[in-house]
Amino acid sequence: MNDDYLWDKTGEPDTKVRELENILGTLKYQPRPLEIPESMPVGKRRLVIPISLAAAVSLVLLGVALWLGFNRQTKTPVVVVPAERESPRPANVTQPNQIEVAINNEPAGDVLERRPNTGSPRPRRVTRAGTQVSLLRRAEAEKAKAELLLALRLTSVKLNLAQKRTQGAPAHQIRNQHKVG
Amino acid sequence: MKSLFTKIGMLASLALLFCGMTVPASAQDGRIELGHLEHLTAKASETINVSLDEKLMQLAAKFLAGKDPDEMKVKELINGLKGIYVRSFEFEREGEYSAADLDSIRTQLREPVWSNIVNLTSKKEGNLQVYLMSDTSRLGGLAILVSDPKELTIVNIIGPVDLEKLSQLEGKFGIPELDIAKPTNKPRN
Repeated sequence: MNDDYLWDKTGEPDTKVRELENILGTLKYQPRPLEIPESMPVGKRRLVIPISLAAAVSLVLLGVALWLGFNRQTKTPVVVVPAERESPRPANVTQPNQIEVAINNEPAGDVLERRPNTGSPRPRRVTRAGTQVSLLRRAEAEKAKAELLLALRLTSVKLNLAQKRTQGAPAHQIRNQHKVG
Repeated sequence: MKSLFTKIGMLASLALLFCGMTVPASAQDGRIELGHLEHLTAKASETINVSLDEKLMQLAAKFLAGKDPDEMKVKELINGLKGIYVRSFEFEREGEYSAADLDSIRTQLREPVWSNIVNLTSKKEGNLQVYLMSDTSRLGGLAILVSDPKELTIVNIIGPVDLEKLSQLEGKFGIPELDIAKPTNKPRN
């Protein structure tokens, strides 16, 4: 038996191979134009333009939605510094109560942002804006703490000074001392 | 009819008189108006300006360490306070502030709202006055007025103050000693 026919169609084919060729040969590729049946409806209405328009509008809407969402997420909290400062101050002494952060009443460690008009009743956990608010709050609190300690210590110093001076002061200069302490 | 108008007029006059005699609301809540001292900032060599309302003190209290005994004392001390306001000016030269500046503060510290419990006057060491605002049963506020030729300090604490605890705070928190506690005739650089 010669197998060359199976490889390169040379030589004499086997009978069975010939039979198989005859059976399957009807299914081989035949170069001819596509025949569309008459019964098949050919699209008379062109849908290209409406589909294109719809896709364009969808893309525009998607873009606007993304822009709004991004813009809202990256919006920093409103920090209002009144124009009327009580006084120009040295660098180490500032006045934190002049700064009003929008979410002033939230607990210190929380990074929650309340959004009034989102339609969602739950506060959303945010990353960037929340971190900024938290940093502002922390800075403000640290400043307030420093000022508080400074004020209390200054008061303590003055009270002790008064106490020391009253020990050597004439009696008429001290009034109602029993009330102190 | 004439007598009715006369009566109404008298009642109105009495009401106006009563309004004029009542103590201003700002004085009743213990807050001293210090805004008129701002012009001294430009003249002062050192200024301390602290304005802490109740909200800010609560915020600061959250950042006071609960384990540190000193800060715990501060937390207890500021509990119930409504505000702390301090203005302190130190000057290079004498006579930078006027008697009117002092009077404008003293007029706010009048009885019956405020009681002057300490009144120290000294040409050398300056003047020091301590005032207390009393509620029916407890202290409602504290005011300290220190005035010497080169220094003017006003402390105004609103709310129930524990003076004993407050006086114990000196030298705490690792804060270096303040110059203002030293003798005032020390030359400044």
